[in-house]
Amino acid sequence: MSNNTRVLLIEDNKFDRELVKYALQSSDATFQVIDACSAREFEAHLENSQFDVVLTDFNILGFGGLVVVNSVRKKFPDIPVIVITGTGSEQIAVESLKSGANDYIVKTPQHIRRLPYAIAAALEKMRLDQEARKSEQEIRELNEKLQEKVSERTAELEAFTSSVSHDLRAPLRRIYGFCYALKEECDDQLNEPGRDFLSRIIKSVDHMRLLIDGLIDLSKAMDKEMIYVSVDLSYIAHEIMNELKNDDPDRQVEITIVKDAKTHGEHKLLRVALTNLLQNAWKYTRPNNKPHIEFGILETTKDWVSYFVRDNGIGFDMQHKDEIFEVFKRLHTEDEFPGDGIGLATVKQIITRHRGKIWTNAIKDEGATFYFRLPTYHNAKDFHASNNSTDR
Amino acid sequence: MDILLVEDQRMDIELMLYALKKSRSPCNIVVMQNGQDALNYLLDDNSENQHAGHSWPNLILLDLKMPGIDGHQVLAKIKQTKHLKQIPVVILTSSSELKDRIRCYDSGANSYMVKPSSYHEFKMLIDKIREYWLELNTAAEDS
Repeated sequence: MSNNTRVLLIEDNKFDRELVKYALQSSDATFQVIDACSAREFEAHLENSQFDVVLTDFNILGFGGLVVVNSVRKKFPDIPVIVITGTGSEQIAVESLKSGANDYIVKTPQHIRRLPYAIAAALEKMRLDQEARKSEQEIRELNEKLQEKVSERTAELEAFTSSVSHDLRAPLRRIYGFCYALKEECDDQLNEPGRDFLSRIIKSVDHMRLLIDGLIDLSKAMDKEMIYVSVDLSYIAHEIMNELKNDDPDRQVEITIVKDAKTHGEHKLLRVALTNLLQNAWKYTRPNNKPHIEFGILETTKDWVSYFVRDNGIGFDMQHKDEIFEVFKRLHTEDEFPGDGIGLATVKQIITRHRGKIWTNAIKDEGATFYFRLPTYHNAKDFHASNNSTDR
Repeated sequence: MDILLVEDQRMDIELMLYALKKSRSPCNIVVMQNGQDALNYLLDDNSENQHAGHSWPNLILLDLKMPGIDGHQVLAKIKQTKHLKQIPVVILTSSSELKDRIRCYDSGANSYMVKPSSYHEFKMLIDKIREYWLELNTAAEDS
């Protein structure tokens, strides 16, 4: 801002104009006063807008000081307006300030001395307001940029995971395929070590396939569109246990599944979550000669239902209770218990996307229980509505 | 000719041929390694070399990701061409992307299969495709 403050003075009384100018001259700051003695002159100056601050009489012939305040406010929301008046009344002061004037000064030689300070204060306030607005704007823009960046990165990452998973699958399928072709066509030409090597290759490829399938499940759990429907978790649990039994008919496992555990959620994802939990229970109860797996309900409240999957398998040390939900975190070697280290991370992702919570409780060598809490229909209603708005 | 296979990956072609050879009832198969060749083959009515006394394939197995003219374009052209649109087209791809699936069905694909990563499942799938489309399904025209 220049040192020379341009003051638009709207005052129809010559004597009062001189009084104001005298008051301004007596200060250290320099002012350049632009006179407007009538409504027409004021309007012309308003168009040119060559001023930093407006001083206006409260009673001007033709129109009042409040009209001036309103016109200036409308066109220049930031420029300070100070009302000066010959009759000091509380009513005028209140009216002036209410209509947006910055200050109010009575035209007596005693009071008018305050004018330069009132102008300086009003200009300082304007500067601060502008700065605050600018910072707010900058923060808002930065915030928007940041959010844009985050969603961009998330999308990139998801696209990356998904394409890597799919692109990794193709060569793997070929390795797998040719291994089997080799086995089928040339088995009798291989000697014992050769057959052993081939079966190791196939086993490793199979392991890699499980890893990639797990990664694909995980990336789906992260970015699949949520389509909320009524889901019968008891029914799904029965289906999964039947599949596990069919794949492993020799095992005798006692299975308890609660009746009518129903919820609202993304059907496919909840099935993936339950599959991972029950598969784990199935796998880790292997050393137990009286294995028992239970799917049940821990607690039902108005807002939440907490479910659990409990087994009497090998359990784990509770110091690992958080890290077992991390990707590729494994507590056992591949030879002890084959696995991909992605399953529980996927389960956690799925439960979190349902705005639920997962936790665990285990005792080493005695068993593990995995709890997960899902919102009730009424608690997640708004969420369903906003998620189902996509047309399908 | 029973099957036209459109697939650019040489090794996938070999595995497919191997799986078909091992299948219960082997069938005839013609392979085109890119979209342009496939369209030339299907649209080139006047060509005497391949089409002389020929019958259209009873089934087209189509990969999606191919350089140049891709599977989507080949599919669209087939389904827009009067004498080809009744031939069943089975998409056989590594993509399980929803947008690919929707686009294929929108263009008139008869079936969409994701190539399984296990060879057993792949072989089983080829067997099932062959059985369903060439034995169980009643085609629009007799070949």
